Amino acid sequence: MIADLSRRSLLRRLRSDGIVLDSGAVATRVFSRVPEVAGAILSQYGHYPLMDGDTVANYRIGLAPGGGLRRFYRKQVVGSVGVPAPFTPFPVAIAPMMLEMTMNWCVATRSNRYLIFHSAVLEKHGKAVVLPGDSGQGKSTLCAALATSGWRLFSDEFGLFDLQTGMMMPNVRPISLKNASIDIMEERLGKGALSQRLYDTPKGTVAYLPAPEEAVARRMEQAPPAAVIFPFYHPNIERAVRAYPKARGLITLCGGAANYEMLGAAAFRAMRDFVDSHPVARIAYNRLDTAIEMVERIVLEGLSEDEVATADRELTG
Amino acid sequence: MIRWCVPQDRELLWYEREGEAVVFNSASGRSHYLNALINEMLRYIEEAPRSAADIHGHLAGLMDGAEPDNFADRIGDILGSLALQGLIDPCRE
Amino acid sequence: MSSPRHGPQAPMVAALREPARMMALSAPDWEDVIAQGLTGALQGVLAGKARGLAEFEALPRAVRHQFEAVEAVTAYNRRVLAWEANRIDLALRDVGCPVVLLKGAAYNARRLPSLAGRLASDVDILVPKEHIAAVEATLKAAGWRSMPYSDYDEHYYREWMHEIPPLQNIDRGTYVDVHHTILPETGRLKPDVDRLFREAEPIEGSNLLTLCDADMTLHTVVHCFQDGEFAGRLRDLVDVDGLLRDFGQRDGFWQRLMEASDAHGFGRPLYYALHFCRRLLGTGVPAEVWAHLERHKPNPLALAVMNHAVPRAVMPSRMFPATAQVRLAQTLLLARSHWLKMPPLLLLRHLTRKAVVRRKKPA
Repeated sequence: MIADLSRRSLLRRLRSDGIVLDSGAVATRVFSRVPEVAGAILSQYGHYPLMDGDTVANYRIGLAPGGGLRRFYRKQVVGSVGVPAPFTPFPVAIAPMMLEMTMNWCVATRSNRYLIFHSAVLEKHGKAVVLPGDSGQGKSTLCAALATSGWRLFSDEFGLFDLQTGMMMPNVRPISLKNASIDIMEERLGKGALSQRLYDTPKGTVAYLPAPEEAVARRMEQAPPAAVIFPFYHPNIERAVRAYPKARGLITLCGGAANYEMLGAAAFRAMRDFVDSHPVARIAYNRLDTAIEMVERIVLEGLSEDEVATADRELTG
Repeated sequence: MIRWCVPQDRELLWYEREGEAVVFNSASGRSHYLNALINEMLRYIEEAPRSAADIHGHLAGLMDGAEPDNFADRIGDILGSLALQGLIDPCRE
Repeated sequence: MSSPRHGPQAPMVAALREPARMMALSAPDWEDVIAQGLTGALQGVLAGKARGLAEFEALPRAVRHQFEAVEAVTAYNRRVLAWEANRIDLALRDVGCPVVLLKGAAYNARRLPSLAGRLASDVDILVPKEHIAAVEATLKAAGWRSMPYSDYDEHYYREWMHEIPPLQNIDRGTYVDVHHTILPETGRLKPDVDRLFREAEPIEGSNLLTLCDADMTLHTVVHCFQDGEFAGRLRDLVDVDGLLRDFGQRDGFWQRLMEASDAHGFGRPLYYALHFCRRLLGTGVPAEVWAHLERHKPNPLALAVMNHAVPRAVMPSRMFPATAQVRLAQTLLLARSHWLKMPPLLLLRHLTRKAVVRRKKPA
């Protein structure tokens, strides 16, 4: 495990050959001279395997100190990926977030072997559930809750669909929580479960929930997608489920895949076949436990006739 | 008179359910959501080159006299959109 | 012991020249090759060569996956090029002049196998100079628009370079560059543009044309050795190598290439291109071609400078910033290419102006 290395030895490797973080679908080699990056790796990835010298990483990233004065005063860190990319320097205190963002950039732009959904993905009973959504609509909180109640985490950010196998592929990384959801998850899991809070980041206050050990251990195991569920936290709705009408579900699903147009006919056919025989739905809830229950039911039993019949109606209580 | 067609090089892949459709244009790589009216129009043009008048007549027949106002104009607009998206081209005679 | 950073034995160059050597690359070398494939836009070519290996499945998992990923990108790129050509063909159907596809769009239209892995989706077209205003107007009426340039840059493009500023399609966001010749008019080399049109060949099922095989090859040759920037131009040598491999099989190709080279006066750039293609990429060139080009061979000092500078400068950068040596080599070549394009007085003004403009842009 990476945690078996002393901090000094980890830093030495980061400064020379780099350290490989294997998240399943991809392996990223990290280079850095910034001590806070070593700290971030130990706290978020300490329980990941230490890869040997024969490992070929998919991506190489660097986290360099800020230039000029910022090497010494109000220290900064800036990500790099070998080609021009829009990374600007940030305070070194948020190094863990820079690590995640830089790795995310590589996945988002270079893993076109997969159909990439902006979504959380988790698995239970051998079936994967895909939870698409932008930040701020409750997806990450729900993902964290599911990941800590019996669901195996694949990813909180990028759902990777393998067109060759028709299955989802894990890309196991820490779950990022923002602002209010940090308090919610701390209440559920206890204070020690999350990393320290990072303040004043571009996304507000951020904390990380390290990926559960079982998720890391099983990061190479794919699972077929069983349902696509768009989650909406809504303070006034106790529980509501609406199916998408089939064609609309298909176009919505395709719209949620970042590289859908790139992958062309193969992606269209795969999504068409999926939508034809699997639920694509929206759910609204005001309690996490209700959401967990709904997700589990939809994945195992599908949608009720009523939920399908009312597909055209607005998502209200 | 312009006739519209779906050219030979333009393989369209379809998904039609419950009166709605998604069509994938393999030449442009784009996917489009179509309501029932546009779905029918595009399928009709896919069968053979059609003029706007042909299309108007065909759709009017399906609607049993329940034509919307300014139907000809609407059809013209839709044809323009379909052409812009490269789903149909003006055909050489 | 680390591998050479440039020249024929650099892992990236060796992999392009002798794909079988990919089977023996170390993990660090593989990561370098993947990184350089990325920065040098050569991943697609590497993937194509790797696919030809019997033991492709035995390659490391990350390598296979990255190759599969880039194959999705190159397939997409080919579709974009074909669609853009289709739309341009439709828009310019009645414009009344020949419209010739250049570079990537042309290679794609001709389905040249060695160039299937290219990664560039802008379309370049060549039209006769007297029709350029009509072509520009027709494209604008059909959904393309000019990009906003400063007056100075617009002047640079129109008067000193060989193209109008690129047009962008409003709906798709893609670019088309409209040229009336293939080299800047202020440069030293003057191609025979009439010959280019005379020898151009029609594309079946379309109103568009491509240059003939010899002219297509020479176009890439002169871009290799007479263009603005030289950082990471290994891909241009790879293009030349690809064209020579695909066309070299055809009857009479080398003869046509010599005739075209003479007609355009491109002997020196062709010499350099073939010289470095052979040296780095192992391109096969018949003996009679070397004999014909002997009189275009540069003096020993010039050749020695190029032999030192080019293999270093054309290397794509890896993860960490280019070494000082590579940066110097790239600066030398950049100065040379600007010199070839414009008269000396204009050059000084242009470089000064460009430096000032660059500093004004926000960091």
